[in-house]
Amino acid sequence: MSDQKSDRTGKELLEALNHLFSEVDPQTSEEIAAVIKVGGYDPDAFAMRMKAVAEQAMSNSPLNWRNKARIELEQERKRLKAHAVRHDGGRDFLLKRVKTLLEKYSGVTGFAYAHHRNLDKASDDDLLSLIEELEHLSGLEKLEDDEN
Amino acid sequence: MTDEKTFRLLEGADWGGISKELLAFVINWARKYPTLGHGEDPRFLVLGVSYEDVVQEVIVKAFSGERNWDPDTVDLVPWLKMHIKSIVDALARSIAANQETDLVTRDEESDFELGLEYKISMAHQHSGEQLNNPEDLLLKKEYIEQELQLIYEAARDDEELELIILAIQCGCESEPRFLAEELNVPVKDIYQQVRRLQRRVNVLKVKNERSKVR
Repeated sequence: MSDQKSDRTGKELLEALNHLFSEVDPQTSEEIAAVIKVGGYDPDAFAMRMKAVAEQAMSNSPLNWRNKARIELEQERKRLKAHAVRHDGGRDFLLKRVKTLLEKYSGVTGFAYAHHRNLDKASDDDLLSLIEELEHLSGLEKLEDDEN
Repeated sequence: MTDEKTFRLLEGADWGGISKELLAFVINWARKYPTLGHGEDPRFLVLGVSYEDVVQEVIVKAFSGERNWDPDTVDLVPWLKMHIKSIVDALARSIAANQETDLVTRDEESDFELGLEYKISMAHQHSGEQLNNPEDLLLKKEYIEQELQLIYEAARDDEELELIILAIQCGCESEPRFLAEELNVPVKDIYQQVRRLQRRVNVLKVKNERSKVR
C-alpha cells in the first residue's frame, strides 16, 4: 500500500466508505429491499404508495392526448379572452364571434339561436361566457370526432 | 417519439417495482454526502425532505413532461436515476453552502400540496441551526463510531473486505477503480466485494433495529 497517503480520521473513513457504497448500486430484489429497510421504509407499503402517485400523475398527464386536448381548450379560452380584452372594438369582436359560432351550431345541431337574438343587450361578460360555452361545444365535437 | 407513445410506455411501466429500485438508489446515492441523511429519522435526507419526496418528484415530473423522457435515447429507469442524482447532488451542494440556490423556487406546477422545492427551501432555513447545535455534534460523533463499528463487524474474518477498509483507511480514493489499482485485483472483484460488505452491513443494521424495537 502506498505510504504517501495519510491515515483518515474516523469521520473521514466513514465518509469515504459511504462514498464507496454509493458507487455500487443494489441489484437483486433482496439487496434493494435491505437498503429500503435500512432507510426506514417498508418496501411493499412504499411501492403501493408510489403506484398510487403514478396513477394520479397518469390521470393528469399532459402527455395523454385526452388531457392534452383539454389543456389546449383551456389555452384557447384564455387566448380568446385576452384577444377580446386587447381588441379596440372588444364588444364588436365578441358579438361577431358569438354570431359566427351560433350560425355554425344553428344549422348543425338545431341550437336555439332564438334564445340569443338579443345579443346587443347582453353584457360583455355574458358574451364571453357564451363564447366559452360554444367554443367548448366545438372542442367536445372535435374530441368525439377524434374518438370515432 | 410522440408524446402519446411516451405516455403509453410510462403507463405500462411497473411503478411498484421501479419505485423500490429508485428508493434504494436514492438512499444509496445520498450516502456519498456527509451533509445528507444521518438524522434521527432515517427516512429523511435533510429536515423536511424525505427520500420518498425525491422518488415521488421524479415520477410526477416524468408524467407531467416537465422532465422530458425520450425512450429512443435512454431506458426509463436509468433516466429516472439520472434525475435523482441531479436532485440529490444539487441538494447536497446547496445545503453544504447553506445558501439558497436556483433549486429554491416557487412551486406553481407541482401536484404536491408542499412541493419538493418548497421543502428544500425550508430545509435551508434550518440547516444552519442543525450544524451549530452542540448536542447534534455529539450525537454525530456517536453515530460515526456506531457506523464504523458495524462496518468492521461486517468485514470481520473476511480478508478481502478487511483489505478494502484498510486501503481506504490508509488514504486510497474510495472508488472501485482506485481500489482495484491499489489492491491489484480486477475492478469487477471490487464491485462484488463492496456489494458483499454492503449486504452484510444492511443485514446487521436491520438486525440491530429489530433488537431495539424489542
